[in-house]
Amino acid sequence: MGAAILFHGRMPMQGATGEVGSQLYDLMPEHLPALWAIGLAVVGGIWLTRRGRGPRMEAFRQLPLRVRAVIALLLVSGAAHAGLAWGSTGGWRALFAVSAAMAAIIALRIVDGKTWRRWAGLLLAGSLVGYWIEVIGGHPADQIGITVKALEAFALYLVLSPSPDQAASRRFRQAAATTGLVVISILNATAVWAGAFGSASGDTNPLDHHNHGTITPGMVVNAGEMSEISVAQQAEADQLWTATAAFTDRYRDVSVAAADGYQVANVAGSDFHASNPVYQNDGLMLDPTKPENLIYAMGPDGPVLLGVMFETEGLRNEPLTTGGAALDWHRHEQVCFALTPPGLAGLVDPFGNCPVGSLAIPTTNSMMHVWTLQGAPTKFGDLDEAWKQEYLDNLES
Amino acid sequence: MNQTSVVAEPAALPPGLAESREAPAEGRPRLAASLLTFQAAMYVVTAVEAAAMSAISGAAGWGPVVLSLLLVFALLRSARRVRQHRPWRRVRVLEFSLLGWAAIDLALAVFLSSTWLGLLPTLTRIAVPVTVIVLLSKKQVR
Repeated sequence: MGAAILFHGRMPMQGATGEVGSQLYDLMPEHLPALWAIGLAVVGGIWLTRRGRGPRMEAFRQLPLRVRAVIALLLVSGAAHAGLAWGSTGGWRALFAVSAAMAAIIALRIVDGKTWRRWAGLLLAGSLVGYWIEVIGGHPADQIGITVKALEAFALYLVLSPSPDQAASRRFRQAAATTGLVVISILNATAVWAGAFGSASGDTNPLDHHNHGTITPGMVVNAGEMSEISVAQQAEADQLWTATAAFTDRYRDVSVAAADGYQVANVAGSDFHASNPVYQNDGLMLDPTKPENLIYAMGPDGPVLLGVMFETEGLRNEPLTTGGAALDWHRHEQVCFALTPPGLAGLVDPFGNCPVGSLAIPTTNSMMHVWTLQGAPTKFGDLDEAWKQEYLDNLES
Repeated sequence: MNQTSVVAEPAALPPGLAESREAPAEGRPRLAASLLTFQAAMYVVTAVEAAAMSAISGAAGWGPVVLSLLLVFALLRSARRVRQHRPWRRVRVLEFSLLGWAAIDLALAVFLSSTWLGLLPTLTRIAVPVTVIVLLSKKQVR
């Protein structure tokens, strides 16, 4: 049993394996210099800490551990921006270079015993806000950016936390810093999700000429599915739809579905996938009389059958080529599977976390939707959410 | 319980150097407490996301939300314990649990996926508890 809560959008990225997915779980090629720069900064920092000589290194070693951590995090942020400057052009290059230089200057100010908290706070806050604006504005977030921003949020928390010389207002400042960290983390995640889904919902992808085949975080399709659909493939797809719609009409009555082995006991929400464990392991694929899942939405008078979802058996099996690109086969990546109770708990979040009690599943088997509901705007792929909601609202009235 | 403060009195030093009076035994638990708070903030995000997911689909119910909030509470309490130099054996047990959970996710990623997509945040999830465990591995000063 499970519910498909994985929406599909656009703006895909071509992966190394020929598959197309979201940048959220990937590294953007133009960000790779930043990764290399971070690596160099970490190795260089460790070497300097152990072997470095001179008054500044002595002063560094005398600093409290948390202040040394701030320096390390500033240098990681600076290195990332230096790497980005290397791979950028024009105004962006200048902006990244200035940010990297400021990080280095503030690190030196800390070691030299000059005032630094205000400057570090401003730099880190500016970097975070700039990133949020950038990703919401349509530049997709990738793993390098997300990780660096998480580290910057932690650095900002350390900057805002009270030091021993602020004993008088210590408790208040600590609470304020903790609250600030929580707020920043939520804003960080919100911006990344909004950016990832926002950029995926645009109609700007030249590869994707389906009206309904869409890609967002958590979804992966084979690049081959972006090819043209032949007349013969379209005929195969239409034939499959007709046969499926005719046979599964009986499942509008959930008691019939239950009698045939579909798990319809707890239908909820507007996109509930009722699986049939027997059909999921019967060795058959694309059998219109034995779809692996039925899809229901909860209407005012009970479950409403929307369509079916076919699946491949196992992670390694490739889907049939019947219908070609018209069928919109896809799989999902980075999904959270809850054990309390068993069910899909969402996508792995930008920081790599799943809700407690669930596991991060890196990839699923291939699957494909067929929408059999009369009047549905599409037969395969994604069913338009607005249309579906309007349909359900009309049932209520 | 009587506790001896290891934090020196503040004195007139340049702003940037005032903190350098922190005693060495204080530094490790303070950084560990900060990392615990950082972890708690991450799981607040997770709880919010799980709540949104539960509201949309209801597939996994509210169990993941409640469990995530319990973890947030445990992490914030742990941070306070460490900051106050109270016994932190349970904190280390909690961190080992989070480390084990991240390791299972990492193993799944390596064995089920042929690429390293999604691994960078998972590595961060491993690095944080490892750092906390190392920071709290020194003999506790009370």
